[in-house]
Amino acid sequence: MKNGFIIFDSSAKKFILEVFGKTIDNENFIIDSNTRERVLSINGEELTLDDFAGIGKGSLLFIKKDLPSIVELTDRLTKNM
Amino acid sequence: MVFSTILANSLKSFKKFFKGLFNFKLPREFNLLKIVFNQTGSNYVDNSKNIIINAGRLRGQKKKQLKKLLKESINNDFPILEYKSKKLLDNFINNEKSEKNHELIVTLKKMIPPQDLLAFRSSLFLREKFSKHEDIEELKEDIIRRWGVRGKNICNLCTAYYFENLIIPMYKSFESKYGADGITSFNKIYETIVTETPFILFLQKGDTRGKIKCKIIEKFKTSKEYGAKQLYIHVLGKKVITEIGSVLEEIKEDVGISFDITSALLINK
Repeated sequence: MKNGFIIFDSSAKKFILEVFGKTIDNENFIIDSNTRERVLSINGEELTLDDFAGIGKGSLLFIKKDLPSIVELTDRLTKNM
Repeated sequence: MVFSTILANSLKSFKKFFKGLFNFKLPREFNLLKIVFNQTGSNYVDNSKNIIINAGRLRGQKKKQLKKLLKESINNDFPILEYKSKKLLDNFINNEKSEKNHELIVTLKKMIPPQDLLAFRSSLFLREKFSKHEDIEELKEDIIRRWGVRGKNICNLCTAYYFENLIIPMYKSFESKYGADGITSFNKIYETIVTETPFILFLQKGDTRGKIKCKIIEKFKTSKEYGAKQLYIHVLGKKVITEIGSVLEEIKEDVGISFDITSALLINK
């Protein structure tokens, strides 16, 4: 993975998810629009819209907006540097 | 030409999206492409050379082209991040680039478990923020949420420089004196340190006198069980140190201790 250049603000979260075939359920968790299954973050946690920080490659990697997830993302990015 | 411009030009759909985008001229250089979504704003380039695109006002072909651009970005291994997380990511990468931090992480990599190293690196970032008097509450909560008490202890040990001043020297000493057996012994002691911090007490800024007293008595019991001859108490603020001194004065005969509060006050000056 490389350090990208496209970012979004919180107003565009749902739009970004929609582009990748995801939506949210009535408890605000991110789910697959077709299967209605909840998506998991890098470390296997279910993810709410509020916690959603972005998407990376790896059969769609969902990134949580906490410091440990950012540290893990850094390792994925620096492997390609 | 800035780095992002070069990255963007590696994506076929990038120029296609901007070609003919109503009322917008693609700048020669830019830092980031930021997607927002509302019904009123327009597309523009801000003062930090970021291109702002309002997806909420795109229709038909242009909306499809933006979606294609986002997908192509992911397929080319460029993650798409929310603004605050991107900022956190860039700050974190810069922090680890410093020679001092890089060396510390490389040294600890062979000494502690991988998950502890992640917790330590998170804590190191928090320590840098703290040294600049920035708010660290949320970052500390993130660490505790992920790694629990162990994470909290690693964070406290890191911010009080115990990795540099105790853990690394201890590993080196055990390794040079006893080889592989020394490392086994180190691992046992290290495990005790990160799970129980037996001879170190970290008090919270808002702890009441009653809570301080309970925590000190409890920690004295634990440290005695481990045969520790000293207990180090960490806290922020001169006022709290004075309070600790008064608590120690009150309980010293019951728990059988002597203490040196003067040095603590001097360090805190």
